[in-house]
Amino acid sequence: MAEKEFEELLSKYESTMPAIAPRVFSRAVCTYHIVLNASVEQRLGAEKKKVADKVVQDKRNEIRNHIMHRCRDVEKHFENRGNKTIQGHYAALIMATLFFTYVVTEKYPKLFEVISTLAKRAQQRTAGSEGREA
Amino acid sequence: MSQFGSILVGLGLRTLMGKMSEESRKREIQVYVEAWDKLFSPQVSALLNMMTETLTKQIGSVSLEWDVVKKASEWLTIPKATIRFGITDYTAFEATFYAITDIMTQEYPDMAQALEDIEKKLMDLLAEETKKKLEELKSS
Repeated sequence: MAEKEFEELLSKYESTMPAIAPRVFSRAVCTYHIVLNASVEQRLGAEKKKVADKVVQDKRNEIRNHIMHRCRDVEKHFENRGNKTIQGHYAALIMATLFFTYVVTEKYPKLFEVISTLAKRAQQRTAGSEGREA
Repeated sequence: MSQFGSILVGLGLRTLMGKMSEESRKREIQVYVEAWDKLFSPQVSALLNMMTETLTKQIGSVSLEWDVVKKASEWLTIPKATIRFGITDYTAFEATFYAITDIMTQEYPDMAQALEDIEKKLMDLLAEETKKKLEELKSS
């Protein structure tokens, strides 16, 4: 596939990224999400990627439901004690961030290697542009 | 790393790693410390710090650790099982990435709003800082 087509794939996935993503994840993770989608489509083709994305959709719902099931339990527990707190929110954030960290550092450490490289490059670019400005 | 990170690292690792030597525990903690800033935005760190502070005031740090943080890390056993067999790195990464955005936008939209507010505040602070620097440069 030509470089131009890959660039088009990158911009396609950049435009479909959820608006909340850059407020939750680092720039390196968002970049990796875009690059990963484009390279999977390049490797598998659009049709086969759709099949893989169906699995993503199912697993996405399973993970969300497991986390939310526990968070609702936490909320009920505290509401029954007459104490409405933000513990459900807190448990959701902790479980979600801890699980994401587990996936990229322990389950698939190569993901973390790539993300770290992207983060370092971004840092170097920022340092370079700051140096030029100074 | 955020203030939240230190609580999470201590409790999460204790639960996740079980019987590990002090040496490897330290190494693993280092992985999480390094990972945190590379994986998540400053807005999320700020939000978690604010929530930790609020809950610590409400229920005390000991209860907070016991009631929520420790249990939350124990509960990850089930989501972990969902990505155990026949799942590629692409599927696991994407599923987790989107599950988090779903939770923020659909389950707890007030958290998405809080992140937006924090972002605005951070931008204001950055603008103020830049203005100060420019004025300093002008006067020197």
